[in-house]
Amino acid sequence: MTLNPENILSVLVAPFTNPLMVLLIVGMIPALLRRLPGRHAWAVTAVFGPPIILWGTYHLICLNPTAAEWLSTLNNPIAGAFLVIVYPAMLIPEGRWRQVFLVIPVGFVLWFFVAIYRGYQTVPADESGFYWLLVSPSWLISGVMALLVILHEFMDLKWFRRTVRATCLLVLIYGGFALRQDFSDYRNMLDRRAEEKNVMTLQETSPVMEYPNKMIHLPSAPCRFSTDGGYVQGCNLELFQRLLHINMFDLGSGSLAAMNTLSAVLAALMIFVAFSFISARWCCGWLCPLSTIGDVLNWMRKRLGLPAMHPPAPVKTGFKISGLSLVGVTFLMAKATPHLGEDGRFAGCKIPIFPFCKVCPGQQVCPVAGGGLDEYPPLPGTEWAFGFFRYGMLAVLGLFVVSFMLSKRLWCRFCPMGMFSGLFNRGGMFALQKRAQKCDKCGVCAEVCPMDIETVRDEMKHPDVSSFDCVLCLRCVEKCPQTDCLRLEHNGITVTSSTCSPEHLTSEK
Amino acid sequence: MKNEPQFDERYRLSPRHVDNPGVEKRSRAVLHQQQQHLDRLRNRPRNIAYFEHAVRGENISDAAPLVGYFCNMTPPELIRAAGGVPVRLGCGNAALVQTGEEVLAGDICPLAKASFACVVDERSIASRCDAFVLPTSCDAKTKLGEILEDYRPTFMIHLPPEQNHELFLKETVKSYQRLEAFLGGVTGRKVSRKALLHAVRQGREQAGLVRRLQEIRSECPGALSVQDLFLMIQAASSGVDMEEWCRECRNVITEIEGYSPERRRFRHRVVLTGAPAIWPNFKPLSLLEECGADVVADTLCSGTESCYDPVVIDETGHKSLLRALSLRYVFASPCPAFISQGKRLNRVINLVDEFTADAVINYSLRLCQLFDAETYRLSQVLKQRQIPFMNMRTDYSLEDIEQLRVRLEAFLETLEEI
Repeated sequence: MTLNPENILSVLVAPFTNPLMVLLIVGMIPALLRRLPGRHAWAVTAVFGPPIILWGTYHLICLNPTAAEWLSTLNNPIAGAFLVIVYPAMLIPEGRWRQVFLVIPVGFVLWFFVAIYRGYQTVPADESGFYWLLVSPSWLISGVMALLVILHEFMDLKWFRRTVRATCLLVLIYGGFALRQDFSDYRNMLDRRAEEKNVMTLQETSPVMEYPNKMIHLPSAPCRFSTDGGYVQGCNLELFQRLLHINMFDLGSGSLAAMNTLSAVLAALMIFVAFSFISARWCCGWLCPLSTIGDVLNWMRKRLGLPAMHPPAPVKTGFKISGLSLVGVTFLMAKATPHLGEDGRFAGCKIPIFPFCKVCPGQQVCPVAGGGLDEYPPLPGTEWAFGFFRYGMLAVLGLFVVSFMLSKRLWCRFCPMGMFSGLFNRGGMFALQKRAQKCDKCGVCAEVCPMDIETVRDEMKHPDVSSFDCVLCLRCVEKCPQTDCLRLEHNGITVTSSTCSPEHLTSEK
Repeated sequence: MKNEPQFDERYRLSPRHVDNPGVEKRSRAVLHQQQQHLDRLRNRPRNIAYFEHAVRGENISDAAPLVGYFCNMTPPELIRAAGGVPVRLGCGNAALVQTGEEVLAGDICPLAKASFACVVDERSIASRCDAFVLPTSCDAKTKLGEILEDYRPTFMIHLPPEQNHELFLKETVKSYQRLEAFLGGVTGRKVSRKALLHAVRQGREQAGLVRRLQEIRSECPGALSVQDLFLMIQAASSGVDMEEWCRECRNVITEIEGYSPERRRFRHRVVLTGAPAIWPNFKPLSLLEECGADVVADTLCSGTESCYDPVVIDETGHKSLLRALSLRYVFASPCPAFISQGKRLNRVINLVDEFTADAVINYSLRLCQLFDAETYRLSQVLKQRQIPFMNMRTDYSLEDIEQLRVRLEAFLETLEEI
């Protein structure tokens, strides 16, 4: 190994970009914080102690070549940026230490701009012009996270959420177009855009993160079908479908290609589960581009002063069942994909690749949001699945628009992507906590909740009020009229709590 | 919405006015005595005269129709949005109780009797009202409505007995919609979404100011006497212009922000709960202050409870605003009109915690069965939590002041041992 500075940096940083390591460190810090007696001694010991131990262990494990290879497939920049920028921002309370800490995100933002400048250096002199932001994915992710952490200092919860959502929408939908690594990458992307695509057999569309054999999936819907759009590979259901697309007979006969795919998918799955454990359904409330687009529709309804629809409990259950049964049917189809005949048919039916995506509104909404109406995917033919989905798809799209216009997040109740992360809402690292002593049971939390959750209002015994449906949008925390009644905890540390200060109330007008 | 009459027209009686020079004289004496109590207070804000005038009904503008209302469950925001001026009918004048007895039954609470006497008395603000709005919050109010209907058009807000959102939220919103229609008939103006939103925002501003006052008072209770605080809060619901009230309140805040006590304050901090203390019946407040306790927080519906919590605006549609109003005024209410007293207990315990109070005083108004019946559970729950508690059972009359003083002083002395 040659010792150039970049290599030393990557060797040092590598352990902290591994989601499993992140999970370990994040899990250890609160335990250490609780054991420390003084309030002043914690910074050095708790923040630097566990990482150093884990860092050493990581490099010892890496002495084994097989282990090193496996560990390197797990590394990705989101984990590193989370550990260095976002988690300390959640951990460190207001005060002097926080101001000291803010130097780090400011540094990352500055480096982000330097990286863009360096990206523009790759543009040949005769073709100089505007090519959006030429920046590598790692610097983009850390830069954006750092920028949001800094902005958070000046914003209230409502505006911070809006900023995060707008930023994520831009990165996840337009990112593939506007944020390329360097000039040649940008050119390649433009060339790819010109090609005609067949939606039935479309394999790869979002190769932004061009690391070999590595994929990043988020527990929400940054759709993979927007042309060079998704900055990440896709949603969790896309990942599961990839797993189902692997031909088990090939695996059994020891095919190297099938083994490679399997290991890549399993690595992605492991990263994804680690992220889900850390963030639970937070991605639904803050990241998901589909719900951001939906919330714009919802905002229009609000401005018009139309009342929101509150579906009764049986209807909600019905939504859940219908979402899950769609997953069941389409996953069976995905399972049939590797056994398609020469004519692309299985048992007489033409089956597309990624069948669930064909009924997901993400495939229709995200490409259009990213590239205009030209990008609207061509409808699969009538030959597919008895012709139902030719019009069924349009019906789903219509349902998407209508459900967001009628009510807050009606759609999210049958989104199976979110339901999967919902499994981590209880037992994951995020927990919504309530101090029943402060609660008047006025019911504002249930009123503002986009998912119509009543647990937060009704639970008076247990402090943990997280529930399966909760998307952690924190509207209840934002609107609660009692100071410190509701709070969000991450791994036992309070991230934010409800405030109703006189200054806030009197400065509204 | 079709507004069905709530009372039987056939059995309406002609309004009856009472002229009793003796009662009138005594009521003036009560007012004078209370004024003297206030004048003896130290550190009064410079512009307190504005609130004193307001609470006596001297700052009412004649331009808009006055709508008299009882209880916290009537949202004053709705009345403002309809173009009316909300005036709270509650009266605490001990002398007027006698007038009320002539029409109402003897065993009805003094609040209802005195307030009714105000309606009958042609010189009071209540008699200048163009309409009345009452919730069915207790037996006295429920039956008072039909009697008041003889004098002015009256609307009864139907309250659910249980604060169950799923079963009764829609129902409450519906009764608010009926109230809107009624108010529209009185003022000749329909309640518009914009006007309602404006009124709700104004209410939120008021809540913010009261919160700020309480913040300062919690830090140093000497900055503003609880009697002045009650005076300010009750002035807001006696027909003043809200913007003017907010301006004056801001002046008070800037003034008391600069207050620095001469020495450490060793007086006991107490939380006051129970029945409303309405001008000029500040007896429990002045007694507590004279005996050496600071009322740092209260759950009285004539005190901070009426405007401490803001109405939360999320959706700005007309119906959503009505829902927000009913959440604030009915479903978060700690009033004993509802079947569970958990809310009041919870709030009292929380206030003791939040305002680091040493004791809880319950002001139980004689002849108010609802508050009386709650005293047992309150005392037991506080005993379990080892919070000192005293029940002050009295009515409007000024005769028992000295007995109460002895009891209070003894109680406060027991606190010192702890």
